[in-house]
Amino acid sequence: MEDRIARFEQAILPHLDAAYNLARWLTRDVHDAEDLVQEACLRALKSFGGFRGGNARPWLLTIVRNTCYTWMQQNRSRELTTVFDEEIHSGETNECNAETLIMRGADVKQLTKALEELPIEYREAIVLRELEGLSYREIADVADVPIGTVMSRLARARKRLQQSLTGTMRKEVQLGL
Amino acid sequence: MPKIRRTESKPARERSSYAGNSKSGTGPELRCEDVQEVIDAFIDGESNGVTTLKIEKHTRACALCSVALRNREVLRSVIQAHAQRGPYARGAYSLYQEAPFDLRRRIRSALRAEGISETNHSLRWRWITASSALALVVIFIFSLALFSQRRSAENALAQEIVSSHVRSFMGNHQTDVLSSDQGILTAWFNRRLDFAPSVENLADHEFSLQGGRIEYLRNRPVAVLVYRRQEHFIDLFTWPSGNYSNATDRNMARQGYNLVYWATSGMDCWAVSDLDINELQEFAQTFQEEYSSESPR
Repeated sequence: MEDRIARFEQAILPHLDAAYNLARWLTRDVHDAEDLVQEACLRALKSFGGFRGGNARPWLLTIVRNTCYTWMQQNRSRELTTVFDEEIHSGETNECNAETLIMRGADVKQLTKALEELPIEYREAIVLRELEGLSYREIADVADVPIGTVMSRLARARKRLQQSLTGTMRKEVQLGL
Repeated sequence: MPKIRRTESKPARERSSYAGNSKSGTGPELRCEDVQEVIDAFIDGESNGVTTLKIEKHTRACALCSVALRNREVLRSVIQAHAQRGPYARGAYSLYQEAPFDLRRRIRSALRAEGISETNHSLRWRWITASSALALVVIFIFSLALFSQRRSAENALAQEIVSSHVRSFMGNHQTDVLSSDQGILTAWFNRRLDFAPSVENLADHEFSLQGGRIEYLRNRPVAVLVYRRQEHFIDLFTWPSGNYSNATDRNMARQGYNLVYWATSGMDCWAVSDLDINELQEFAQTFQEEYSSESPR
């Protein structure tokens, strides 16, 4: 039995940061994230027999994601309401100026706020893509949705981030910050 | 918000050649709406070669879409710039949140605790399963032994009964007392045995009582009542039930003879005859009915 735990730790613990990162962005709370990561690791140990090798990170992240969603279903179900599909309008709004972003340089605080304001499915897609660098295929596996859904969630998430960031920063410019 | 006309960015002939969904194959050129949808896959390096070429071609010519593309790229680089890992990836310094120091330690000890309880659990289960399997096997063997012992004891008994029945036809030993009177027979047995067998007259049912004798079975004296139907004789062996008598009625056949067993009021009764089994069962049934219809003793 100890051998199994040693093998598990060797395969899984290197991805502990990824697990915590995802849990923290999904729940937006550091303490909940810690508890949920621990629970997810115990569940992962139980299903370790079914792990056929390969990349352990998406495997672990799937368990973390499911653990978080299950917990949120019971404790924060309001945050899980589905977002209505928005149409992607052709053409960017003229107000979206890339130079603004470069010049002002959004900081971590603004980015965090913008990310946390996203609906949870969009946030999840951005975290898995931008922070974890997973491929669309891997994101589709972790989130258990088709690749097309991954693509549209990413597109809408980025659109919203842009709008939210430039909106924030325009306000700061106006206020002389 | 009015849509900005494509005429500003595209040659006229391209506009008229568009038809239908252009996302697959090397079909017509992409429209701005289509580009918007695949722009993320493009910058993530996830679009296929054909689509990539089309997007590059479109955005070279289309000011609007090239702005959109640039905005996306800038957004990405801003996020990436603040997604450092390593010493900065904690607290408010990075978007990437690494696990707190002691979380790793806590999880490791939780895993060990889980491992131990799993081991205990599975060990305990293994012990329970093994010992209950063993217990079942023992019970099975024991009851098999008991069953076969009883069976063989019963077989031996049946054999003795048949032998006695057959022997009674040879020589003059079929009846020691020749009477069809219940009272005489009861008194005769009473004087010779330490128990009183029930004697029933079944003449109404064409089983005529001939008489009785005493036999020795399994080292004990037993009462035998002799009945007759037409040319068939029926011996009814009866004795007090011991500790090991079987409670269920049973039939048997031995060497061409049929046997029927039943127990009544603490007495074991075996009827043996060359009658066919249905008639012998009729005899047993009738005897029991006559017995139970009598006034309680």
